[in-house]
Amino acid sequence: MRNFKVTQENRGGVVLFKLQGYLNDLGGEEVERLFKVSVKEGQRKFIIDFGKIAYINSIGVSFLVGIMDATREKTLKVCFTSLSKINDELFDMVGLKKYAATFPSDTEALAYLKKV
Amino acid sequence: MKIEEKPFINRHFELAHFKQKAEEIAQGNGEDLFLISPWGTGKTALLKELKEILFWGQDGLMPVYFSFSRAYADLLDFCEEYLVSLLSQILFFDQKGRIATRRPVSFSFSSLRREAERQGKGVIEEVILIHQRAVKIKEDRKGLLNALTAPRRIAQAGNKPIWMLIDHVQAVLDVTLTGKGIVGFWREAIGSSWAPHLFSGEPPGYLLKNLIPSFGPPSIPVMELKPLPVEEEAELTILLEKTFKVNIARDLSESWFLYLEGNLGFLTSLIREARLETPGLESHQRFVELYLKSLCQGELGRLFENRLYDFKKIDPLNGRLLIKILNQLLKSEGSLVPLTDLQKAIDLTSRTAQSSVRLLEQAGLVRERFGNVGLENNRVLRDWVEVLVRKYLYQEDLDRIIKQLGKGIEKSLAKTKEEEETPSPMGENALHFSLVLPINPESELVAVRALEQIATYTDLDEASVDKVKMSLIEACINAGEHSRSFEKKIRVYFTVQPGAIEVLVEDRGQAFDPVAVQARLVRESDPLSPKRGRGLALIKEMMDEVRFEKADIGTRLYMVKKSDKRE
Repeated sequence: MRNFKVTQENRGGVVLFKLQGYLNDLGGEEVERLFKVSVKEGQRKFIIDFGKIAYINSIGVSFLVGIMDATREKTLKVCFTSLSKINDELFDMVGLKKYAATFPSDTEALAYLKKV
Repeated sequence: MKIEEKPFINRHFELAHFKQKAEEIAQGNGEDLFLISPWGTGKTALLKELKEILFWGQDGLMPVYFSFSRAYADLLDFCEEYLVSLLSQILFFDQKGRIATRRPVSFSFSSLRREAERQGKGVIEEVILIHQRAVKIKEDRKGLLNALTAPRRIAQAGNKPIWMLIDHVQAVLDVTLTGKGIVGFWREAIGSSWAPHLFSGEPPGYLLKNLIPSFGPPSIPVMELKPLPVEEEAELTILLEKTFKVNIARDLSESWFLYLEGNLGFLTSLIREARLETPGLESHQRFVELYLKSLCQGELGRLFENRLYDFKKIDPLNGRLLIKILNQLLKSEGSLVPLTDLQKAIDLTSRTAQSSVRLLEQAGLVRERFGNVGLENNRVLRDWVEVLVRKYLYQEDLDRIIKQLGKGIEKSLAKTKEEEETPSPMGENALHFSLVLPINPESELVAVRALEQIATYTDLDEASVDKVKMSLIEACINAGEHSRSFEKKIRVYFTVQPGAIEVLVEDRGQAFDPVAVQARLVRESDPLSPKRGRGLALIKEMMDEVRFEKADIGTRLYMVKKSDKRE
C-alpha cells in the first residue's frame, strides 16, 4: 500500500474516511476493514471522501461494492464525496451510485446525513 | 580463497552464487544441491565454466565435472567411466602447478594406477584396486558403491573437499542394476561435506516428480536456473555473432527469441550450424531452411534424438509407437488429451501407453497432468515433433518437410516482423513509445505516469486520457495475473497521433483467453460481493476499440481512444 492512505475522523456521529492515492486490492481491503470495525462499534453514517484519490482499479471498486452490499442489510447510510469526473462515471457504470448519495464536498454530505 | 575471474557470457549472478558455495565447501560447510531448468538454458556451459574457474583459480577444493553423456553397456562400464573421469581430474588438479599446458590430461584406466602411485596417492590406488576386483568377480554392487563413495574417501584422505558437478543427472534413472535404479546407492554417497554434489539436469517437472524425491529424506535443496532475460540474450547474440562470425539478421534473431523462450542452447546450436553452412542468414526463407535442416539432420536434431533414444535402447517398433503418440498429440493442437483416448486411438494396452508417455515426458516432449497428456508448450519442441512425425511416420523427404512446414514458420516470422515494424496502422506521422515493466505490485502506475506525459502529444481531452489510464491499469493487472510470463515482464507500446492514442499491452507468457478468465473470476467470486472480473468490461466501456490476440508466446491487447474533437 505504498501509494494509498486512508484517514478516519468522527464528525458529530458521522464517520469520515479520507482516501488518498491508488485504490487497489490492498487499499480496498483496508477501507473495508475500517468500515466493518466502525459498524461493529455502532456507527451508522459514513462519508467516503475521494478528493485525493488518483486512480481506482476494478478490484478497488469491488471492495466498495462489498461495502455497499453491507449497507443494504443494516440500514447504514454512506455518502461519496469529491468524485472526479472519471470516478463519477466509473461508479455510475458499476452501479455504486444507486446505493450511495454523492456530493461535491464533505460539508454538503454532512448536512445531508444530519437530516436523515 | 581467491578465485580468478575469467570473462564469461552473462550468468554473473549464478557464478557469484556458486563461487560463494565453493567458499563454504572449502571451509567444510558444503551441501548437496540440485540445479534444474529446461533444456538449452545454459546449465552445462555454466557448470563447465564454474569448473574451469575453480580448477585454475583456487586450491581450497577440487572441482570435478562428470556428465552422463552416453548409454552404458553395464553397471561396471558406468563405474569405470565415472572413476576415470573423477580420478583423472583429481590427479591433474594436484599437478596443475607443474604442467605446461592447460589442456586436461586424459588418463587411461590402466595408467591411472601408475600416476596415483607416482603421486603417492594410496587411497586412489585402493579405489582402483577395489574396482578391478569387482570387475573380475562381476560384483556390480561393490563396484558401484566403490565408485560413488570414492570422492568422499579421497577428499577425507587428502584433507581437501571435492565438489562433484554432475551434469545431465536425469540419465541416472536409466542406469539400473537388475532392473532397479541406482539412486539408492547414490544416497550412500551424498550428504557429506567432504564431497558435496551439484546435480544438474532437466526437464524440471520430470526431475521434481521422479528423481529429486528419491534422493531424500532429507530433501536436497533445488535451485532453478532462470532463462536469460530477452535483453541479455540479444547481447549474447552479438557476442555469438562475433565469436562465430555469423552475420545473423538482427530482426530475425529478435523474432526468433520469442519462440526460443529463453533456451540459449538451441540458438547457440543453430548459430554454430549456420557458421558451418552459410555466411549469413539474410532472409526468413534462408533462416527457416537452416533451422529445419538442423532439426531434421543437424545439431538440434541430434540434441533431441539423443535425449529420446540414447539413454534408453528403444527398438524400431517402440520408436514407431512413440512417433504415433506424438502424431496424435500434434493433431490435438496443443490441448491435453486423456491418456485413455490415446490408448484407444493407437490401440495400446494401458501399460504400454503409460510407459511410452513416461519416456516422452522424460525426453521433455510431452507433459502429463492427472491422466491427460499434451505436447510441451514450446515452439521449437513442437516443430521438432512435427519434423519427426513427417520424417518417420509419413516418410516425407527433407525438401518436402522444409517446403511445407517452413511456409508456416516463415509466415509467422514475417508477421512478427511486420508487427514490430508497424505496430499501428495510425500513419507515418505517429509517434511510438515503449515501456517494459516488471511484474510487480503497482508497477502499472509507472505505465500510467508515462501515459500522462505521452498523452500531451495528442489533443485528447482530460476525461478521455483518464479513461485510457484506467484501461491501461486494468490491462497491466490482467497481463500480470494471468499470463505467467516466462520473463516476468509486461511490454507496453504507445502510438500517438494528435487525434488518437493506441496502447498495446503484451505479455510473453501463457496465452490466455481474457473473456474466459473474466467469466471464471466472476463465477468463482461470492455472488453478493464479486471482487474480480470487472477489468475487461471496464476497458470495453472506456475505450473506442479493443482487440485481443492470443499469440504463440502470450497475449496482446490493443486499445484505441480517439479524440472527440475529430469525430
